[in-house]
Amino acid sequence: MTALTTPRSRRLRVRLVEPVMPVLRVLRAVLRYVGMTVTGFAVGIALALALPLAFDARPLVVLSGSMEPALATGDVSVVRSIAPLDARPGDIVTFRDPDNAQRLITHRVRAMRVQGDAVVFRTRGDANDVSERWRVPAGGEIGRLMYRIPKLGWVLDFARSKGLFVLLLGGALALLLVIELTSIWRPEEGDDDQVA
Amino acid sequence: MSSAIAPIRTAGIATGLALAALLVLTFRVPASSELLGAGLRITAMAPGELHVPSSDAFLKVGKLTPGGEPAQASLPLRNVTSGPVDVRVRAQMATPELDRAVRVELRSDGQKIASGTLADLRHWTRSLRLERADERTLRVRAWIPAGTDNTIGRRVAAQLELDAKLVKPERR
Repeated sequence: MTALTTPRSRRLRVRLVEPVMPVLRVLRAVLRYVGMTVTGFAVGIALALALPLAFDARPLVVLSGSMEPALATGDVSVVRSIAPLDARPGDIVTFRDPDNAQRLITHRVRAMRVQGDAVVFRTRGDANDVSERWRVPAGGEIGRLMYRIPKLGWVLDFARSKGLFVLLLGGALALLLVIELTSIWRPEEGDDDQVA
Repeated sequence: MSSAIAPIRTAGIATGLALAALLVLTFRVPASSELLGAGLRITAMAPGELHVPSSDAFLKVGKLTPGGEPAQASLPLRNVTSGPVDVRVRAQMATPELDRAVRVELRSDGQKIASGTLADLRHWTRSLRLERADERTLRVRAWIPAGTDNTIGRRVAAQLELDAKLVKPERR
């Protein structure tokens, strides 16, 4: 019985699966492409946050809406250190709050002038109606906004609050990335697609 | 056939990286190109013998740059006394920030009254005679010579102090 049915069922299975195989292959390819696109995007964003560190710049999470619509709450702003005299009216700069040195403020320069060895700035948030005045030594440093990544701050904030979860998730993603990259550069034999 | 997978993965990674780069470029904030020069504001303070139209600044410039266009302004002066007066001028500045950087020239009807730095203008200029009811225009030209350092963002308010001395008629 077995000897008679086995070849027949094989034939049947092959007949049933054959028309579906190309669709599955395409679907698998699309999913693989999308997956790698997401991975590449994540890597790109991670680079956009990490690379500036090597060039005297750093990412900061925007915590208030005082600069909307230029900067929204939850955006990540990447600011580069510059000499105060390199700033110009119209630039968005990051500086220490004159009333609380622990806090950083990112606002737009409205006016600036040099007084002796100090640069006096008048800045204001685009959504604010009050300006602030502060001074910094001409030889000091302030930050100038280079670019922003919308809403990424929420992700980073979540990551901070769910430390272990994100660590595991990040580790898994990193592992996946390493495996995928390895397979690109060193394709394995006997891959599923070889069946076709 | 594994060679068919590698291009898909590579293309995916490349697309993702390109999208990330596009995102960064889209939300890039270019540095402001606004020119920041030196600022100069000159007001005039006239004695009772002279009439000057306004007490506001007659010269107001915020973007003087080394080697750039000079700032120019005119100040009409009218002798309101019954006789001729000799007028001289000097400048008072609260800070010496631009004393050596800014050059100033004062002229009236082609006659040069003063030419030098702002610091030089702290001293009285030569006299300019205004006859009875005479009105003349004092032309002020200010600039920063090319190659002058340390002027960006500096601001100076100068007050042009006018002094008028009645000319006594000569006895014969």
